[in-house]
Amino acid sequence: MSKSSYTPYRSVSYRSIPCRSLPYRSVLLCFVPTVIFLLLFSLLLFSLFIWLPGDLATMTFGTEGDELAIANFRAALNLDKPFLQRYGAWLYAFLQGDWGESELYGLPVRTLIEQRLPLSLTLSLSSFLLASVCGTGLGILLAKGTRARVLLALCMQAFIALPSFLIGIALIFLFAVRWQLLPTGGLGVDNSLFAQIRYLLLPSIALALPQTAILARFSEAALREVLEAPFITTARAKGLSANKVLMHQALPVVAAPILALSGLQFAFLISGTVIIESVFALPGLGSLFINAALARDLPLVLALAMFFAVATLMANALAETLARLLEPYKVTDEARML
Amino acid sequence: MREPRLHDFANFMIDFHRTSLRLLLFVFCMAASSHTLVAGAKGLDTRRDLRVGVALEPPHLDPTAGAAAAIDEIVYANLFEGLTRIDAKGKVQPALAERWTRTKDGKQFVFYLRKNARFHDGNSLEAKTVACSLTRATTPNSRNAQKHLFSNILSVEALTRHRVRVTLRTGDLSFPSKMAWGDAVIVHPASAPDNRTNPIGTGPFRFKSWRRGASLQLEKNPSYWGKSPFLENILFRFLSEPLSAQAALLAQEIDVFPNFPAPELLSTLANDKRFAVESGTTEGETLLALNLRHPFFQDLRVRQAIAHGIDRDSIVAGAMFDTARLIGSHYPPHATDYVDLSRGYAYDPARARALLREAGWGAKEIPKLTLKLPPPSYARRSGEIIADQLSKIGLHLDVQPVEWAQWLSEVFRGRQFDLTIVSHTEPNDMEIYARTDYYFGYDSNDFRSLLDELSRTSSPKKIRKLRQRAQRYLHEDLPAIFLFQLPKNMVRVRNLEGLWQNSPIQANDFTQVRFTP
Repeated sequence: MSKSSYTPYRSVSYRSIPCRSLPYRSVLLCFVPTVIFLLLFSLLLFSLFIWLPGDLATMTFGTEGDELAIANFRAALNLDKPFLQRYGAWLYAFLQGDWGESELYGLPVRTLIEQRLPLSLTLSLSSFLLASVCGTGLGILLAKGTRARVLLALCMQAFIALPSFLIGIALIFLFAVRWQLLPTGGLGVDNSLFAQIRYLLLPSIALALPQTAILARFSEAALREVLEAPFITTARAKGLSANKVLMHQALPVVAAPILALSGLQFAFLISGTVIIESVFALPGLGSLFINAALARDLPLVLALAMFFAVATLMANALAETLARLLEPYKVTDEARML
Repeated sequence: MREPRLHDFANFMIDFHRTSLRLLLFVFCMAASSHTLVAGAKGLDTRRDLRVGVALEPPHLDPTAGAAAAIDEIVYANLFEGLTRIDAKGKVQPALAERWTRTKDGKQFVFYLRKNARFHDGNSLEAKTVACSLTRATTPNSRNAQKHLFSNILSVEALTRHRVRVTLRTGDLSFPSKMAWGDAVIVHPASAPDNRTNPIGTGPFRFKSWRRGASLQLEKNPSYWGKSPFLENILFRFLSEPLSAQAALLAQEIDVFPNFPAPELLSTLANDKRFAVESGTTEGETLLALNLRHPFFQDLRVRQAIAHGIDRDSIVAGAMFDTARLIGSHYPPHATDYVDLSRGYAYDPARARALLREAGWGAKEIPKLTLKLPPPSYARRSGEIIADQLSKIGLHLDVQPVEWAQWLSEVFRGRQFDLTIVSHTEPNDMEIYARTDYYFGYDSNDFRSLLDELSRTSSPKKIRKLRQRAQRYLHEDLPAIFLFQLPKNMVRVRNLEGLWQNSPIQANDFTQVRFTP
């Protein structure tokens, strides 16, 4: 570590991360509860789902179909077996990587998820990037103080308060109907990347706007709080410019909580896109999940729910690890001795 | 070596902001400018390519293996064909069978198949294929949702290569009309197992591609046996959200929405000069169904009281925005032999209260009743209005919205309901009042013998008389409260013709559709 530096965060070192010292144990400590949680989650979901009125047979046959045909259908899909036997069979197959067949679509569950995953991931990643970049940027701008502060704050408040459904419709009517710049929705028939960007631009913005607003409000508040701290006064007293104080002194301090919040937002963006998908007629995982649940297609619902759960946990874990890496107040042993 | 510092992170963030903002701006500009290119290309071949909006995406494309109407709305008459077909007026027409003969008692039918009909994969249509296809639907493992169409079939024999004989258990003169249903289309045994994802039929259009959740494409079948259709390609887009559907129409991304889901948006579209809005009828008789097993509903006077206690005009105005036609019995207004009974049971709350008292139900004795409403907006909206109107005659309904799976298992199969609202969309479905095990549990010997007589009658004059008698009977005996005929609200661009205005069967027949200059 260089001796010439007198900045308050000099004591930070990557050695301060607790996981580093005991990787084996901490991984175990993280991993075991997660697995137990996922097992309990699947059991709960399975039992809740079985308890719902109606099953795939009622939905397949609708208002017709004789009792015998329905009974045959149930027997063929093991819908008539006792609960624990069904759960056990599902878990056994699932752990071996066999996610089952969706009777509703007549395709393997894995294929269905693979078909829709790229779109969902692109959508959530692009809106996540959009939200993090614009959110923190606006937060910094607001904390710094700008003439448009009131206007911006009002807009932020509106984006938080308005349901994403309404934002999506408003965007469609402005950009697609009135100005005819972008398509109203769907994915078009052209598979090229460029064509796809046009179709994903509006939904990404619609998804990102509320998240941007939340992130901007949050980072503004956090920055303002830090700007009151004594070390900022010191930095100012030393003659650092306002911009430098903000970007080099205050921002690193709030980076960790901002990252933690972004992690939560990303987790939401993976699974919480159902409404935007329906407004923009996009074939993502969210609409697949809703259709599967309404049609009582159990293997598909379970696989998707497990996927969402794992993705959420992973996003959170990632955000937490990153936040720890950036924690400026972690005092190392070396620093404590000084 | 210098260790990474936090202000490196800060610098990185600043750079990242700058670059990504630039990138975003670039992407947006490119996207906006590319629009002009696309718009320029738009004028090229729109005359032969139709873009259709539909509200529901089918789960799969095999009409013989599922009850979803969304399947027939894409494949019926376009991709798959049966021995016979229903035309725009609801009449039975020859399809794969160019003609048929029957014995006088209606027990044996001989269908003469088209000699040049071929499946999309090149297999030719033969009598054997038809025999396989029809017997396939009757096997115990078949997932056909309308097995009653085939339950009367005793045997199907291939007489020659293009002649097939169907023998029935009991005489049924309406058998050719049953073979016109979407569930009775002819499939080839070799391609049938894959029809759910790769449908192979005999129709004028063949399957091209399916982007699940977004769109589906059909293209012209170059080797079609009949008259070649005008359109080269049909693109179906799935737009479940009414406002998005409206936006897609306004942005001219789709040419027609044959069954627009939101009547409340129609007036806006009708005011737009680019579009024509047409309100036709369907086979959907919308009923306020009563659970007739409940002692309260067994008294005719109670049912009459409910009929008088409901202002159906205000329901059609409030729930359907005046796009639906009132009905007075279980028979579609567009059909031949229809009797207009829609003005019966005028709105009269005082009379309704008197009828209830007369039946021995004082204001305090009326049981608490539940009204279970399935998801479609016609049911949910009408239900709320009805609950309000019936509370004025002393009937307090507990309104419970349910989803389809719940409705099917609780109401339809479980019979756990007092009242419900649902549209019965099958054609010629008066026979549901002859089934004692049907969900509303109507049991009338008179009506059963009336229908029995009808199925044995062949003279058109007598059929007409019997059908009208049946309509009057249901109107008077009120096994359910008849509300309105579900409309088919179509929004199309003005220069499109050849679409069905009414919907005698749940289908979108595109064989005659073309753009006028």
